[in-house]
Formats: sequence, structure tokens, C-alpha cells
Amino acid sequence: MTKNRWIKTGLVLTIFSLFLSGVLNIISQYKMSAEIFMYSQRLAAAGPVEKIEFALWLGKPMERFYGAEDILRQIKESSDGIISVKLLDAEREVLYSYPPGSPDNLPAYDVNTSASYYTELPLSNEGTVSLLLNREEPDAQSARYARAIIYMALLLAIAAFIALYTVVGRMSHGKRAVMLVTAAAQIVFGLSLAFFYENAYLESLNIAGKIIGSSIERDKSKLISYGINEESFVGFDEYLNDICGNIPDIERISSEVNAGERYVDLGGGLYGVINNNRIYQKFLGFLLETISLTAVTLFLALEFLFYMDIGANAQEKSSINTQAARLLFFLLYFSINMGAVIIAAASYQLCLQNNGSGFLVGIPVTLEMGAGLAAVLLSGVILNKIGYAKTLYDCIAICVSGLILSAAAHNIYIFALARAITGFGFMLSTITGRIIASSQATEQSRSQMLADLTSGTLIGFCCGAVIGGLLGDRFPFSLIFMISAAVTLCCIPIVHISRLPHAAERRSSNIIKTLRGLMVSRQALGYLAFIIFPLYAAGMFIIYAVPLYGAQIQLPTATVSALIMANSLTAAYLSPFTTRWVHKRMGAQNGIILYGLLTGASIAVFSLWPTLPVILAVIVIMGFADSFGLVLLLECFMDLPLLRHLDKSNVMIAVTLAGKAGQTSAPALLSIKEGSPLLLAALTLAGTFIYLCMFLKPGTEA
Amino acid sequence: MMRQFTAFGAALMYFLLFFFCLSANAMERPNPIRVGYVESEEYSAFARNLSGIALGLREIGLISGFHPDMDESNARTVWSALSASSGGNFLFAPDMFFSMKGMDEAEYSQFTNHKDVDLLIVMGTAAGVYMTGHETQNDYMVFAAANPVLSGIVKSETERFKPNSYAYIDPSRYRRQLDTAFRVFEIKKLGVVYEDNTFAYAYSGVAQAKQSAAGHGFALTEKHVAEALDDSDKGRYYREMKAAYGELIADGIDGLYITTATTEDYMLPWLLADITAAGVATISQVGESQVENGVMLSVTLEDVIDQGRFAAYRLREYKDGKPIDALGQVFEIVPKIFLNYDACQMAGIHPPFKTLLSMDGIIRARGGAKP
Repeated sequence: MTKNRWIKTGLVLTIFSLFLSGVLNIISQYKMSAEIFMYSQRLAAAGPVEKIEFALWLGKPMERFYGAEDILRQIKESSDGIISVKLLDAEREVLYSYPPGSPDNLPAYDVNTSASYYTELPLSNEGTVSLLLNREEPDAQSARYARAIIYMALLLAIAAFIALYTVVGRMSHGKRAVMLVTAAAQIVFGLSLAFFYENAYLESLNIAGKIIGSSIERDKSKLISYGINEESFVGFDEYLNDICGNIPDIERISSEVNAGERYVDLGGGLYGVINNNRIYQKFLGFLLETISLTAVTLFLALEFLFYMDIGANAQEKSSINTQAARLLFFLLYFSINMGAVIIAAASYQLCLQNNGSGFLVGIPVTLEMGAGLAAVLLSGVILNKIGYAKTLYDCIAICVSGLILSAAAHNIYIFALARAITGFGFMLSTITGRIIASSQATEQSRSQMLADLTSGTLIGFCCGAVIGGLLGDRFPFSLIFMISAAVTLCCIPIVHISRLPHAAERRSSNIIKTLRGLMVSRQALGYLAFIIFPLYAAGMFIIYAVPLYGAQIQLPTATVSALIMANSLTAAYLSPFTTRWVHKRMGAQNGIILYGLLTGASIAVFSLWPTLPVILAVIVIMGFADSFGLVLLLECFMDLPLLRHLDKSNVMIAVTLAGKAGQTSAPALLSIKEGSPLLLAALTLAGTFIYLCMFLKPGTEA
Repeated sequence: MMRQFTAFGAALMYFLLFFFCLSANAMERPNPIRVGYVESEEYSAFARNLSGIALGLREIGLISGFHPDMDESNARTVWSALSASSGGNFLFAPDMFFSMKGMDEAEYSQFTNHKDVDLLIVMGTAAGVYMTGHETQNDYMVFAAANPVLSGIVKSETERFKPNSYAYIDPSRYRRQLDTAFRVFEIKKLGVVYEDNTFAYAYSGVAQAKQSAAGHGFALTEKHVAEALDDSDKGRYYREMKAAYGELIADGIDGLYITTATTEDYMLPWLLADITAAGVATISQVGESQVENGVMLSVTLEDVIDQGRFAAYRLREYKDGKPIDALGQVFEIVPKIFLNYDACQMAGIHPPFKTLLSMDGIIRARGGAKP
């Protein structure tokens, strides 16, 4: 590529990554600002609400509460941000309201309109104090924040352009220059976002502090008006502690601050000492989110650069453009997994909306897996009839339809149908890619294509999960499914660019005959039972065990996601190198044994010594093992002597089915012995050992 | 022809019967309804209750020209003003005002089964019990009775002994008072003094005090002192009350429930001097006026305006023909909590900040004059 082309590419990628980071961060700050605003208004109400609670405890009934209007008036007057206050009973009937005659139409809990926010404070007797809030102030704060972000992004874009112009010509490879500049811009942007975010958080806390201070002062004034001296107050510290109990960000309220403590001035000689742990957790969460986002945008850039560097110019026109195929599956996994991470939450929400049973929550995922299985079983027939390329076009259309239906679904049954449609199209595309790779003429090209596809799918899976998680915190589920559908549509031109074959290989037999053929081969059966099944089950270990362990030691969710991502990325980016190395040094069959031993041993070590350093080491080792193992698992099976005469497509289908069985059984295996993965480790090691003893002779070349 | 005539007659009979049944439940009332008044004795609470009822009637337009003085402590004055008010539906007979304590028992027949009255407003337990035992002709509605069920005025919150009776019931008012007092003072042993008879047992709320004690696990100890019969008996009454409080202090109480009695507010500081010095928390059954005179806590369950409004709505239903034994009797008053801060300090009791914030009123007063 020419220098100008690299500069343009770099600028586009930098601007895209800054735009993505900026938008997500602005929305994040907007949400944080709204949360702290609603939080601070709830704080303003907390003091008077405590009085209601105490009065209820003393025996005043809610329905006939003398002084209720006065308390509601105190709440209203405690903050300019409160438009109206209501006291609701357990059936959400309005008992009292201030200002009197405020409209009775209550929005659903925490639903906000363009004009106001709505929030509630529950009472111990199932009643509620509801607040309607004026959102001008948080919106103004968010607007200031957004302006600062935009100015920063513009500055960085200009700096990036200058840097690209300078650096691209001097570095030997344009891709490295672009990656360097994009990464640097993203890191600088991330750091400045962290700085802005912390300032915005502290500003919000200060506003909250003023409200708290006013509330305390008002309460003190009430008693002082009765002639009771401040020095005579008994239990004042307990009263202040109760306020802190409602505010996790404030550790204590005191008239003294120790050296090194951060605080907000509440006025009247009182200070709210900020909970450093909470700030640290918020900041860490934000930092990890920023790092994840930076990583994702860089990987997105890398995948496009891979294609542009090699794929656009690559190879003969008649052969498959494997870089484009990698980009295709990267995008497909990226777009589908963007929606996959929110399926559980969307199912739960739909169940709640329709008062459905909790049992129904799992149906969309179950149907999606079932449809995927059906796709695998039917793939042979479908591919034979309509060919590879057309199948992929149809898969994309099916996935897009399923995603649009997921967005539009208003009950759990339609949502389940939508997920089944998406699952069918997605699994069919996956098996199609594997079959295309397995049908390559030479072992080297097959191995290379499998490695590329595996890398692309792993990275796409990670990036999609991260982006889906970040979007899920900010946008409604339907919008995320629509974004997912739009990105999936972008795969259509890449199918064409990939130059995938249109006609499928003529197959000599159907899946049943292939399965019969497999039954004849002891080694094939042994491979499926002792290698494929346990290793695919073991492959689910990271996804299940790391979040579980993270929850036990209270790791932030962002950290857990980062660890899982690190595992997948290690596998993805090392795959081309480690696969070649294993082929060269020890052969595929021995490579499989190594894969089994590394995987089983890693899981066993973690079971026996479940500590943080061990899990980190396990993540890296299993990532390394997956980098060649996932490719070799399929390759070795295809190359088994007695299977060479069988239809490769059907063989790929069979091994995929066995792998799916392993993945499906993984949760059960992990939960048999109180969540300990020792059983899984034993199964993996035993399977590898048995296969080694039964079928591999010393010195056998793979 | 005959057949058609018979059919028409049958249809007419049917419709007449139908409308008769429809209107059977609505009774014909005289217009205006002639109302009389009977009270157990002269008592400021009765006067305020009557004023509250009058205010309620005015609010809903059943009377006009009445301007209540809510501080008026003499029910006769209030009745005179009511009699002078105008209102097409009710006639408050000026000569039908009776206060039982100032009358001989033989004179009680002046207000029972009277032919010139349709409805009697009755204040107080004793008057209510007497009416239940003797009134057979006219309807009567009892207000300001501490416990109409326990004292036998009505059978239950929904049932009557007699079809011409009604009683306003606040079923758990005294228990609510003591529940609150328990939470404020964490009482372990509560003392109560009352006259040893069934009326006093009822209007002193002793049964509900026992319920509260059982529910919260504090002990209840009782002493008996006869009420003052008249002004000349008050000296004896207060001496015996003071002695009874002394006995309760010796019994180890940490809370004293001051119930409805002939105790005058201005005597409270003298009566409670030893109690306060012993650090005993004091709880008023009566209300804010006692708190102003040195009692520490009152959970006021007397909102005469709210009660009066409730009574007025029942009177409207009665006027519209609803049978008196079908009128709703139960109505819980909104409680207001008052604390005498100085009385607490004198007893060495220091309510915490949060408790003080929850009070509807904090009174800074050490009580009225000594005797």
C-alpha cells in the first residue's frame, strides 16, 4: 500500500476508535451523572424518609400519618432538583403528595422521560416514597463533559494525523505505524477520559454533599428551634451513621478529617469522608472498561489491517482469500456475540414484563442451541444443494432476520423463536467455514485456513462480548440487537471478497453412512470419546470457572471479562505461529497429546491450588494450548487413516456434533463435585492417556 | 278481558312488591330529626368532641350558622350554640341537654325514652352504658367512650346488643399509645392507677395495656384509687394518688401510664414530682395538655375534628335512612406524638436525636402551678 493510503487508513481507524470510545464514555458519564444525581436526591429525601420509617416503627399508620405532608414538603424543599414527592402504599396508591394535587399517573420504576427523572425509596412496610426530579442540572453537567470529550478527541485526531504523516514514511511497515499511532491515540484518550470521569464523579459527590449538609442542618435547626442546645444532642453520631448507611460513597460524617482522607464539605463544620475503597473500585472499573475498549478497537483495527495488508492484494483470483475469510468470520462472531451476552438479561426482562415463570428464562438459549444442532445435522444436505457461498449469504440473511426479530420481540416465546432462527443461521455458517477449510487441497492450506478461521472467530467472539457488555449497560436490548443485525449485514460484501467456492464438493455419502463408517474405526471412536468430547468440555472451563472464582474473591466484573478475553486473545494471536511450530516440531498427533496434557494439568493445578496467581498462569497456559490445539483437534481427526475415504464434510459434521456434546456436558461435569473442576481435569488427562496408550505407537508421526 | 285484567293486576302487585323491597332498608326519618344530648359528666373532652361533630356537620352542609370554639370546655355552651344554629335536617333541642353526674339517678328518666326526641348524642362510658340498659324507644349514638365493647355499650365492632344503638370505636388506641411509649422509653415495668370498677377498667384502657405488655414483654402493675366525687373530695383523691405513685415507685416501675381520671392538669407537677425524681418515664393517655404540664410523652389519639367529620358522615347516612345499627363504627385516629423535653431531662432520660426528630411537637415546660 502507498504511504497516503496508510495515512488515510490510519486516520479512519483512529477517528473510528476515538469515536467509539468517546461515544461509549459520554454515555457512561451520562449514566453515572444521572445515577449520582438521582442518588443525591434520594439522599436529600433519606433524612425525612428516616423520620417516616421511625414514625412507622413507633406505630403511626401510613394511611393516617399526621405530619406526612410536612415531611413531604421538607423533602421537596431539600433540593431544587425535586419537582414533586409522593407517599405510596403497598398497592402503589397515592396517599399523600407534595405539591398537593400533583398528577397521580406514576411512571414505572426508574423509567425516565426526556423532561424528568423518576426514582423511588422503598419503605420497610412495602410503601414507597417516589420522587419526580428535574434533570436540567445533570444534563448540563453531561453536556459540559461531552464538550470536553469532543474537543479532546478532535485534538487527538489532529495529532494522530500529524503523527501518521511523520511516522508512516519512516517505519518500514505501514501497518506497524498505523497500529502504533492508533494505540497511542487511544491510550492518551483513555487517560484523559479517566481524568475527566474522576472530576465529574467528585463534582457529583460535592453536589450530593451540599444536599446532605442542608438536610442535617435542617434537622438540627428543628430541634434548636425548640430551645434544645446542640451540645445536648444525644445519639447525634448514630443519626449521622444512619445517613452514611444510605450512601456507600461516604464512609463517615464527622467534624474531623484525618490526614490523607478525601472528603466533601457538608457545611456546618461537618465533613463527609469519602470511601476510598469505593472510589478505587469505581476508578478501577472505569479503567478496566477503558482498557477493554481500547483493546477491542485495536483488535478491530488489526483485523482490518490484516485484510488490507495481505488480503486485498493477496493470492490468485481463483483461490480463496483466507484473510478476507478470517475477516468475515471475525465480523460474524463479533456481531452475533454482541447480542449473545445480553440474551440472559433480555430473557429475564421479557419474563418479568409478561409475568412469566422463571422456568421460561432459559428457553431462548436452549432453543438456540437446539437449532444450532439441527443446523449441524442438516448442513450436509444444505451445502450439497446450494453450495458454500450461497449458504453463507443465506446464513447472514437468517441471522439478520433472527436479530431483527429479537429486537422486536415483546414476549419470551417470540424471543425464543428469534434466538432459534439466529442460532440456526450462526451454527450453519460456522460449520460451513469449517467444511470449506477441511476441503482444502493440501494439508498446509487446510491447516492455515483453520488457524485463520479459529483466530478470527476467537477475536470476534471476545470483541463482540466486550462491546455487547459495554452497550448493554447503556442502551436498551432491542437497540443492541439492531446494531448487531446492521454489523452482520456488513458481512455480505466480505463473502464476495473472500472468493469462497460456490458449489460444494460432490459428496459421496450422507451423514448416516459417514457415521456408520466412523463406527467401524476404533481409532475414530476412541478419538471422539477420549479426545474430542473431554477437550471440548475442558474448553468451557475458563468461561465457567473464572467468573465463579472471581465472584468468590470479589474481583470486579470487568477484571473477570478481561481475564477471559486474555485467554481467547492469547489463543487467537498465537495460533498461526504455534500451529506451524507444533506441526514442524512434533507432528499433529503428538500435538494433540500435548494439548490434552496441558489442558488437563492446568485445570487440575487450579482445582488443587485455587489462587489468583495460579488462575492467571492457567489462563495463559490454556490460551497457549488452545492456540494450536483447537486447530489440531479437527485436523487430526480428518487425517485418521480409516476416515480418509469418508466424505470430509460429513466427518466435520460428526466431529462438530461430538464437540457440541462435550461443551453441553461441561456445566454438569463442573457442578457434580461442588463446582470443583477436578473431575473435568481427570477426564481430560485420562482420555488423553487412554488414547495415547491405545492408538498411538512411539515414534508415530502425525 | 278478565284474563288481561288479572295479568295487569299481578304485574302491578309485582312491581309494588319490588319497589317495597328496594326501599325496605331505607327508613323514613322525621324531618327535622330532633336531637338530644347526654354526657356522663362535665368534661372538656366531651365539649371538644361535640364541637368537632358540629364542625363536621357544617362542613358537609347539614347545619349552618354555627361557629365552633374548639377551646370551649363546657359542652352546655356548645349545645346552646348548636341549638341556635339553623339546619333543615337536625333540630338540636335546647332543653334536651343532660349531664348525669349532676343528676340524681331518679332523674335519668328525663332523657330516656323521651317522646320529643328522635336521636340522642351520648358522650362518655357511663352515659353509654346507662343508655344501653334503659333506652328502648329512641336511637342513640355514643362518642368519647374509651372502650364501648369492653364496657358493654355494643357487642363488637360490627354487632349491637340493641338495634337502636351505635358507638364510635377506635379499637386499639391505648395499645398504640403504649406500643409507642415502649419503643421510646424501652419500658420494663409499667404502672397504672385507676378506680376499681368495670367502667374505670374500660376507660383506663387497662385491657389494652395488658395486651401491649404481653406483646412487648414488659410487666404491668396496678393500683386503685377512687375518683373524686366532687370538689370537696379532691384533696383525698390527690393524696391517695400521690401515695399510689409512691407504692409504684417502690414496686420498681420505670414507666407510669397516666389514665383518664379526675386529675386536673395543673396538679400534675406536684403529683409527679416523686415519679420524675425516681427517673420514671410518664405517658399520658389523655393528650397534649398533660404533656404541657409535665408528663413526658403523649400519643394523642384525640383529633376531635377528624372524629367529628367521621361522626358527621354517619349522621348524614342516618339522616338518609340508613338504620343506626348498620352504620360503621370503627375509625382510627391519626396519632400525634408529643414529648416534654424538660420533663425527660429532669428524670435523667435523654431521648436520642432521631427520636426527637420524629416527635410532632416538643414541649419545653416544667408544668403548671403547685397546689
